[in-house]
Amino acid sequence: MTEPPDPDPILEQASDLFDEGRTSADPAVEARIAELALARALIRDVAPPSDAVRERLVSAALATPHLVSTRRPARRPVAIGALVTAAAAAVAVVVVLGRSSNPAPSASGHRDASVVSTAAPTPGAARAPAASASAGAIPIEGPAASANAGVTVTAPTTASAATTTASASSGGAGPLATAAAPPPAPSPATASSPSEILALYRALAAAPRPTAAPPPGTCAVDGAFYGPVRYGGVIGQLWLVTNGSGGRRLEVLATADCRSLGEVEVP
Amino acid sequence: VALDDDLVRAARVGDRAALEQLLRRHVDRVHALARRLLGNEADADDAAQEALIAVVRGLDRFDGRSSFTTWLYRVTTNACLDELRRRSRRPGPLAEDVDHGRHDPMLSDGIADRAEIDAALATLPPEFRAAVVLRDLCDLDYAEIAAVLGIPAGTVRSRIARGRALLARRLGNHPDLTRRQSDDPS
Repeated sequence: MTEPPDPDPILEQASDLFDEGRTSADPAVEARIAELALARALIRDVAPPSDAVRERLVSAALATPHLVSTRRPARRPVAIGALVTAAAAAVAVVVVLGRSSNPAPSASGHRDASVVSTAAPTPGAARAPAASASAGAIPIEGPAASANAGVTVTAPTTASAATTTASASSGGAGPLATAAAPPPAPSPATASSPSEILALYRALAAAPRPTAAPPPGTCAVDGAFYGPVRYGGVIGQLWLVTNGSGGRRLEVLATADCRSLGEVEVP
Repeated sequence: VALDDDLVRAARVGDRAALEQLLRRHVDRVHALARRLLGNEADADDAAQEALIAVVRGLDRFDGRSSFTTWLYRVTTNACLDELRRRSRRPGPLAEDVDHGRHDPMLSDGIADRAEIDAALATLPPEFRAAVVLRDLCDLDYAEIAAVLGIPAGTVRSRIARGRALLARRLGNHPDLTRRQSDDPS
């Protein structure tokens, strides 16, 4: 590998003119433009993949379980009143377990995709022990994702006086409820980045599973609730999806229409 | 002919035919970018596969703020840069060891040219190579390249100019270029 030379004024001018499709009256610049044109022609002279390679590439991609297509139909909001639960939260944080079986790792090295299995929420206790979690480097789904670090979340200590905070947020949360004594509607924790979602999940995961059943207004995704979350200013629900190889993904779904607000892999 | 956006919308709700059409429409584009960034067929095949799988898995996160093609290039470029990072951690032939093929009479001009451009591109640091290839192969403008690489547009311009300078230096004795330069009165 060679470090590119310092900018050459003539070549820089030629490069700019070339990209703008213009010419120059200066023969030296024009000669450079001709060089750039030749280099571009060489760069573009790429042999296409063979038919066999092309088919293999497409087939491998098509064989990738499609997370959205298997999950989205289940994202319709559940009718209010369809679920009877003491937790009268208008929104809830939910953890979902799913499975997938990607034939090959993605560019980011992850193999998860579709939602398959579920984990029903277990009857929750009224109390949640204090917990905190710090998110380190987090592999975030998608191209050119960048990880955030250093987020700390403190879980609520009781359902009635629950407050969940993220260091980079200002919201509080009380995700826990019991059938015997409905707590006040919890206010959502606030997260503004995938790392904060992860930190929130870790804090909540350290506590007993919060509710026995999803509260009204919960997206009909198989899984277990953890609490409400406000993500990007939108009230939503947090889900955890586990793929076939054991990888887990957290998702925040908008409570209003269950669209995806954000996702993050759980390391 | 369905637009990419229409195919994306359909694929996102589970239309497998739309997804397949989308993939077939762009597979050559993905492969070409991988081929130019990585310099050999085997790595390009692997990276193209990684990229297409990432596209399928990430389709729900494509927000439509850029064109699908730009997003596709971003995914593919990241897959290639990942591959380059992996490659840098394992022993392999140095760029200088690549057979330029320029003077091999058994090679057609086209094949020799391809080998030569591979060798020349291999001398560029990956971030410069990506900027040049995204501009000259993919026809992305500076703003699009900036979005793909996550760098300011001014940096894109600089990387392209400097990358091209190095490329021109490496290709300096290409027959066509030599002829052009000898014809150049300056």
